[in-house]
Amino acid sequence: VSRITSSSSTRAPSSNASLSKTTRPNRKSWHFEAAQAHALHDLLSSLLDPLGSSCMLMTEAGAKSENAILSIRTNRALDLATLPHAANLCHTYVKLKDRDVAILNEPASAGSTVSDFTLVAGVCFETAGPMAEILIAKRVSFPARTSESGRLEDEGVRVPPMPIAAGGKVNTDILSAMSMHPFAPVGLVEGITNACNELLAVADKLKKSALDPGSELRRASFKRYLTDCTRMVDERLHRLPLGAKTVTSRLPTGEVLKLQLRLDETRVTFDFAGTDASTRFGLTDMQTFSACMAVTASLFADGLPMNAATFSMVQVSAPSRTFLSGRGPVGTVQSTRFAFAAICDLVRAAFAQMTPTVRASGGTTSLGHFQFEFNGGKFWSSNLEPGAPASAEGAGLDAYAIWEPRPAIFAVDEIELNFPLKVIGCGIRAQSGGKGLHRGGDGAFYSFEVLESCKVRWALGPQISKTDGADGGKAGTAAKIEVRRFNSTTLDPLVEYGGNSDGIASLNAGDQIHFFAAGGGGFGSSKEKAKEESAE
Amino acid sequence: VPVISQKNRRNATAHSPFRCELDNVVHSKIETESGASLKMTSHQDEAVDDDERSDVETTQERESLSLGVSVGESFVELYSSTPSYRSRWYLTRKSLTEGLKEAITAVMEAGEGTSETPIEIHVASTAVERSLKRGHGQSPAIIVASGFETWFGLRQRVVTPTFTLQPKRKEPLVSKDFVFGISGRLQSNGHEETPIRIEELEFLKSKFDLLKIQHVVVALPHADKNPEHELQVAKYFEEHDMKVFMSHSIAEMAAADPVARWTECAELAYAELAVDEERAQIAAAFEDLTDHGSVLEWTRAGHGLRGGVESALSQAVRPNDPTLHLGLDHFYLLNDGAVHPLGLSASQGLKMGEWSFPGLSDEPVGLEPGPMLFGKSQLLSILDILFVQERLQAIEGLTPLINEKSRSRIQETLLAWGKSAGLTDGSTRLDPKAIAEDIESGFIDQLAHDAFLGLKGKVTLQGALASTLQPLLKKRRPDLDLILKPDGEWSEAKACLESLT
Repeated sequence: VSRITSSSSTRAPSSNASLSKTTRPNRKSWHFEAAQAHALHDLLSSLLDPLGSSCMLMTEAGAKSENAILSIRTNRALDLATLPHAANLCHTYVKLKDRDVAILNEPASAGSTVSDFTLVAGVCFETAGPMAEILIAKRVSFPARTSESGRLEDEGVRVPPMPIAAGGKVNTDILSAMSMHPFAPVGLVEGITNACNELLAVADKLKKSALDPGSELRRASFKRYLTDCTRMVDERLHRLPLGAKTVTSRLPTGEVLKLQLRLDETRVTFDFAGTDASTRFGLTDMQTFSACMAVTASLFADGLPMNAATFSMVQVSAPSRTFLSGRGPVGTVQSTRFAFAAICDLVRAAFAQMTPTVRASGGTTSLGHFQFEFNGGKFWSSNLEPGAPASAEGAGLDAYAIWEPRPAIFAVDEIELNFPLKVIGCGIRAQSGGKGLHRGGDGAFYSFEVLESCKVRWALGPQISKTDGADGGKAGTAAKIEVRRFNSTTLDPLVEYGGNSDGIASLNAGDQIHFFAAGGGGFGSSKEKAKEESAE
Repeated sequence: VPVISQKNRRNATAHSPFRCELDNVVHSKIETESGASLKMTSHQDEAVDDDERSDVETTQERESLSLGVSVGESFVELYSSTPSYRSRWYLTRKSLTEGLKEAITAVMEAGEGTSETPIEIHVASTAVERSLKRGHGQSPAIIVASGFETWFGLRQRVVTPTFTLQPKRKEPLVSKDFVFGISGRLQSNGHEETPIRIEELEFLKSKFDLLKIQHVVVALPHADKNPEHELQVAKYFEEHDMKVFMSHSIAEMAAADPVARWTECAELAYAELAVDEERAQIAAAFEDLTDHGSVLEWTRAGHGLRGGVESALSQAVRPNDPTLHLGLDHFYLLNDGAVHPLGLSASQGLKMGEWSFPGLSDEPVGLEPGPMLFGKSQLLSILDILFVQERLQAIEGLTPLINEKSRSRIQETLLAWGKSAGLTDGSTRLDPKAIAEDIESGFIDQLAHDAFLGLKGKVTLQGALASTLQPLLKKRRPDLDLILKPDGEWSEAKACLESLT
């Protein structure tokens, strides 16, 4: 976040980060309760193990009260609130019964992007009744597709909440129909069918767990578990200083983001009043909440259980005229990514004003994207990972988008086998991180030779311009794209620092193209580092 | 050589889905010059019930003595059925060679063997895992296609907690300075695009000499379609007395992610030294015991070196009932014809977790320098908790290592943890036993849940810790019939013996 300004706090912040720890009576009994809660926490976590990342469990409380999130496991900040929200929506529309599965990817409601499909399974585990008592959700991500028009409709097939499996039987006809859409992801039927089966396997495991006579998997235990979690989260909150800070930033596209962060004894409040409207960006309120929640969780090195108790400590206010409340246009894949990363960076900057250890350089944490489009509509796309910004705590990690760390599965053999592409190289763009006391992470690089004529499209976002260092740290190197035409000996720049972040180019067989992600900004002065080294 | 009834052989094969992947089950055969043999006919007497007995009943006409040896992370377990002999020793106190010598001598005496008696040993070893875990290995060089030198490092998983502000990746086994690119390249259909250039290999060879590199991993794209390039590179370096590991030889992973192939190859190359050392230690055990001219044959099914006791258990004769294996290093559930590793172990570490309460850590602390009860380690593990709770039954090889004075140290540590977690409110003195009890209960709860999920009726328990954990598990799951397998304490080494070549 560049040019962050600080306004006066409405309450005097505490000077010590470990303040306000209240003395609690009967700590012995609470901690022994915590041991039980810990056991249930581990059990819920082990139930989610087969689903990998981007998955969650929540109770179905009926119409009279709210469903409660029991456990979310994800390394994508965006999933935190959007995944349970999507699960709730699916259940509201589909009325899931035991071993039914529903699907949803509509960005306006699911809060994900069109390349991310949310699957929700109902499980009846305690009673013999047909209605679901627990919802298990998993988000399946396919390679994102961007379009020239910038319209969501051209990025993929949009799926409203609908049933996809009944009583454990997957309806492949519906999936096949979806896959006929011209922009449907490759491998949709197989990917969704596999994910459905994984969900159903977990549903069966959950039922077996409930049969274990000593199991804590009971509705009554869930309530106690969440109460214990609330106490634990409450204790964690007391480690943060009290007070309030206001920070603002301007996006490279001109929109102003404003945030007032307030920390009191029981709650963290984020108020985005003063943020601009936008025709380019449109986050849902759940996406905004996810960003605030993720950054808050990142402050606790010993972790937080991700469930309803933890969510209850965060309150987000995003007025309707801002682009953070779901009232504006629905964001495309890339605009969502950029706006989401900008919110995360702003929230982190706000916390940094109160707790210096979380201060970081100003490099971007937003993923870039590029895609090849071949004749017949065939396309292949990939992310472009920037180096992580360095912080007061240490160097930035190479090729890593903190808030959306997509697994770097880049199978050269498979790409070359399935697409007319030769991968010339991929890895870390050396020396792209900004220098400083702590060095910014290096960005990634990917190089290709195209074997057939095609179009290449890119969306680099802030990586093209925003790599600032902080506290004397140097800026990282901005993203760039270079091309070497067939039979040419020179490398010509397609995009360089300060150029258009989005673009498209035609390539002919034999042309080579090189994508370089931005390096993270450095933190602290190199002179300090030299001093430290000489002192050593 | 054991002659096994056809029925038993068929059953054993049918129960061995991982047979072709059997790795570190090493079969060695010792024969004396004269080829004298010892003939025996025996029935295996460890079957749990009549059904099982008939299943595993084996008529063996032995011309040799057969030993099963499981080399674990810190303990060695040895088993011989005829003559009956069992032994377990701690590697820190007694070397593999020394322990094997003692065992072979004892077995020969008991079986009336002579120095000319052929001895066949079946070894399952964790040498590769030990080497990787302890960082005792030799860093190989990795040769990749030019342009991919830094990809290996980028693909390491992030090990810090989710959403941490200071993320870190796992350190790659091979430093980026040891990854080298060559221009040779194949197309996706396996056709050659750019040939291997010998001058590049010569240049690398000179670099390797300077870096004193002896092991080389060759990991080139599309080697599964056409291994020719990898073979050419391997030939060059093998001619220069270097040990070469080729990614296409990891056959079962050929269609999967190439980086996973590279990693597997690199790990095997890294651990090769440890495997060689262990092989030499086993060979040394026979040198003084048999006449010169003994033949030590090492054969491995599969191509890798991994597996250890898990491979042996998957190859051994399977019981009909679900069986929970509670070994000193690992716990497994043997069910539905497969071996399922469980996420817990006896040396599971403890930590102050996110709940401000001592709980189980994600990783075992291992048995070296040991749990605190051995008197040296500072790291608490579940074995320590079982010890202060007075649950530990006598376990050969382990019980003599227990230092009784450590009991108070463990209790003091628990108390300190309790205090740091704020478990006392100032007026009540906290009993460390109460903390131990709670940790124990959490551990048993998790183990019972993971192991017995969906099981009904009879479950057999085996392994060195079976008798220790049986009463606790029985209390947790009174609905199950948990029975101890006769002689089950030796099931790891016995599985090595039962695994067929």
